[in-house]
Amino acid sequence: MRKTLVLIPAYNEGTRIGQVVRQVREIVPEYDVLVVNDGSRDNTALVASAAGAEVVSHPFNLGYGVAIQTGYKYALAQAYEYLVQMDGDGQHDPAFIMKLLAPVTAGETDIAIGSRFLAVDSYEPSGVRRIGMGFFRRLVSWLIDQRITDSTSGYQAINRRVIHFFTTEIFPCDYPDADMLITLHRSGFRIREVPARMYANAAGKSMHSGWKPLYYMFKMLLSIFVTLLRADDRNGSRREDAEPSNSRSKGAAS
Amino acid sequence: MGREGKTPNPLIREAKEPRHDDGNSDGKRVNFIHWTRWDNLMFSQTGLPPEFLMPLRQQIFALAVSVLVFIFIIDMVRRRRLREEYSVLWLVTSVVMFVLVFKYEWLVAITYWIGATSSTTTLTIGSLVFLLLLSVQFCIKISRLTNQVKDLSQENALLRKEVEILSRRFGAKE
Repeated sequence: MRKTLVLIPAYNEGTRIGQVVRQVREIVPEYDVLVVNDGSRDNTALVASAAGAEVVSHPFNLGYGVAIQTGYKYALAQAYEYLVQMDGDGQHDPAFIMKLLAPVTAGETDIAIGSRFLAVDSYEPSGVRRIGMGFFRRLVSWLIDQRITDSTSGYQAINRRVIHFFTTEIFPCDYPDADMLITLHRSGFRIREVPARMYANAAGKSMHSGWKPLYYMFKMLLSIFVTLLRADDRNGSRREDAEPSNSRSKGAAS
Repeated sequence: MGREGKTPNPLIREAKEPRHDDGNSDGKRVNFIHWTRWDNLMFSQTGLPPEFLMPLRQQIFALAVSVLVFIFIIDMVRRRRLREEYSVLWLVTSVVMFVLVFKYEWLVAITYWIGATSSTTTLTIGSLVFLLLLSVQFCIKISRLTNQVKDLSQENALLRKEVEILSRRFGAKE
């Protein structure tokens, strides 16, 4: 069976990460679980490790995008074939991991995105966040000529080619959402959405929290605009021969 | 300068009755200012005579600079040589400058509010404020990076020590 990694970035999730890891290990015990501790000030790393996950800790907080890229680099170094990414705050239902992976392992798509808007009984945000998500959803759908219902979902399954692609400088470490989808599309990767249930965040905030909504809107619009201007991505290159953005491409831990 | 909140801009009120002399106390007529078509156009839009306004060449130059800066910054971000977070101030400033020169009456209003004597002065002061904000942004970022470098250095030193201890133990067993 090909190696699969479940990647969970976490920042100050000491109260919830243990349950998330245990649930994942119950549902997919044959998969490895990696928690990237993004400079948490609580006991996130200890709890995750006690629950059975491998833990990589940043020395300080670097942000969600950097945390998941660390996970991609780990997966590349450890030669994982597939990777499932989910949030560490319990928003993503681990029961959908296999459904998310199915089209990727079958070779039907390169990246499968879990969409809360396709699932039944899924939490949907309200207010300004919903309007913002709706705007970027329509924009991305129009630009890649494919219906996308959830452009900000952090619940994804990817194959090794995408893992390698995401370890390069192309990956937008600052809020990797809609612009990442456009970059993937322009580089020739196949994208598919899969229904996935998501829950409301119990504490009322998440790693995607809108504490900088204005900057997020600005950054996303600017990033999408410059992505469309980039000629290298327009040629559909998959960057399979591109070097990862760290100095070592493999053998980080053996 | 009026103290009541609704006192109109005295500069504009005066300009509704354009004068051909500068109102010197001795009543003598001074040099007549020849108004071009552009001066008449700006007067009809702003109500201000040309001596209070930015010359056309300066306006064109300001517009050109704001457009060039905007394009340059976008290109730097496109080439991944400039991160989006550092482009915010540049892009916002160039857009504001472009809008103010285009919507000239807004620039005139700001000029009045800050007590400047000409629109060019307002743009110059705006540039200084922009540089100040840019410096503050860099100082904040440098402070954060300094702390991070310190933490990384300490962690590196401690990890090297751990490796040294492990090497001694491993070497001692052999």
